[in-house]
Amino acid sequence: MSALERQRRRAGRLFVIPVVLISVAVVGVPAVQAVYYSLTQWNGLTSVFIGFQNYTTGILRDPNLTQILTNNGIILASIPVGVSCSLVAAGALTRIGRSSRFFRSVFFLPVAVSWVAIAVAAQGLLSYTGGLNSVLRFVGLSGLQRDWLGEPTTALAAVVFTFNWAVFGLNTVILYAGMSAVDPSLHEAAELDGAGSIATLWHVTLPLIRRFIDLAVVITVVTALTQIFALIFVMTGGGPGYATTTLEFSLYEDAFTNGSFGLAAAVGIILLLITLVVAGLSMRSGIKSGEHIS
Amino acid sequence: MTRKGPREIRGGRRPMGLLSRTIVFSCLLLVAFIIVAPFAYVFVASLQVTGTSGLSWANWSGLLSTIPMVRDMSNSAILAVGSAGVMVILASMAGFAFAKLRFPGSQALLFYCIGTITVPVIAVIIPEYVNFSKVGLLNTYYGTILVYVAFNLGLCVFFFTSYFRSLPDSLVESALVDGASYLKTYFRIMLPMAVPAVITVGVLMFILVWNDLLVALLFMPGLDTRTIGVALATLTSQHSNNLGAVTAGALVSAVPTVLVYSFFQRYLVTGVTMGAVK
Repeated sequence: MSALERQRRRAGRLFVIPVVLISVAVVGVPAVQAVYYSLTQWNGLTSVFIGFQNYTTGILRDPNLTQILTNNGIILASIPVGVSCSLVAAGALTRIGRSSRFFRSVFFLPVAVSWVAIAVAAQGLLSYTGGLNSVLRFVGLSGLQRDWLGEPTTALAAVVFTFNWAVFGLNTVILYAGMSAVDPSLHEAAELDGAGSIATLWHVTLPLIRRFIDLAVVITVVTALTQIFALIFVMTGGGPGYATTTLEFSLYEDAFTNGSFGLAAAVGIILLLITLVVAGLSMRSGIKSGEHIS
Repeated sequence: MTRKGPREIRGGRRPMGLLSRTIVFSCLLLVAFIIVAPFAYVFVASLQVTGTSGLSWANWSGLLSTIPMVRDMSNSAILAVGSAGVMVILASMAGFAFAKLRFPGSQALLFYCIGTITVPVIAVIIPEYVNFSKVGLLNTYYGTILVYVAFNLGLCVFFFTSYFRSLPDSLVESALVDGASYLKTYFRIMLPMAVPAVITVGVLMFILVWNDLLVALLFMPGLDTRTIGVALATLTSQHSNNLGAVTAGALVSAVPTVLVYSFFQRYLVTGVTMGAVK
């Protein structure tokens, strides 16, 4: 090996050292700790090893587990609907030429706004004295007025709607980017063959932008599982009761309201496993669609 | 629909007829309204003072006495700018090395870095919080910046690595032949070449950190160190009857990210779609 090559390798190692050190110390080590502490009863200071009790007794026998998983499930189930809306919107944007720029900017706007600000807005709109009830009164539907965030069903619906509202623009822009990359002559060919707009979208565009659809779904699923803490914290505080508590939010409550750090660590491990599965599935589908192309 | 000449065909698609064009446009306008309406409503709400009818700027002029906006926003700004800066330097250095200065084991390290993308902050935040409080890193800017940088390193390193891979090796070779050190090659040649990637990563990090609640809530809990997001989130529960002040604060808090977004929208879109383009 030449002196030059040795020097190059040494430089390479030096350049990656900071990143690797930070990544190991701040992500790797606590991840391993989380596994260990999930097997202990832990108040943040002293820990006692209790095996899998946090998982078996703590999580599985939690009387609110069904409610929490249902909430997570309903939020996740809404994602295909939300992404489909983005798909239609992206399709429409590709057909209107230059004015699509304006719509894309407007749709993407919520991406720049924090979940806290979005939640404050949602709270203002949906409180008893808020905007939605004023509109209902105005159009003569006073009977429908209610404290939208104060009743279990409507509170969860409000969180689901606000979440999808907030990610709509991001997904639309991702899918639009995919659709703009599709070779226009393919559409022309399909239309010459007599395919309508819907048929072209379904048979030509969708298979070609599979990657982008996967990306939109994965980003949204991971966000729904691990990043809507702020939305729930501000909008409903997980309530009323446990009506809007998700796994992610229950982790925060376990640790910082109830002081059960070990149990919270166990919930964290469950969330980690779920995101690993989602990431794994998306990689597999990526490989599959890659095979399709070649 | 009539066939148009090639000049009028945009993107190779047959232009829509007037009727369908009007329908599509109206639908898009409706969606745009649904997106914008809450912001407009929040603005109107910020002009309403509890117990009075009519609109006034009272909430806005009283904002600074209700929320120490300047201090809270400065804290957010220090964290957001600091994280963006640290991330750009560290991730681009690593990306340069992973792309151009490969050494035995570099692929495995890159794989590890990318693997951390799948670890969400929430999953390990409990031990992280306890570790940080033990070593006295809570309520410090550098400690919190460390958390933000660490949990987004994977994506940013990946981004810079693929960016540098697309640049020709000869750039590095010729700089080295001219006698430049590796550090000089990085700062003088590679970093200036990577300006678009730097902007994308910087803008993404700025918006992400400015808009975060969870990490800020746990790692910067002090009244002097709290961010604008934490201030608003905690005020919402305390001043639930003072919606005007909170909504005014929420609008002000969104100004920096919306400005950054409008200037750098193009880069932001590149950032979020990069996952799909390999």
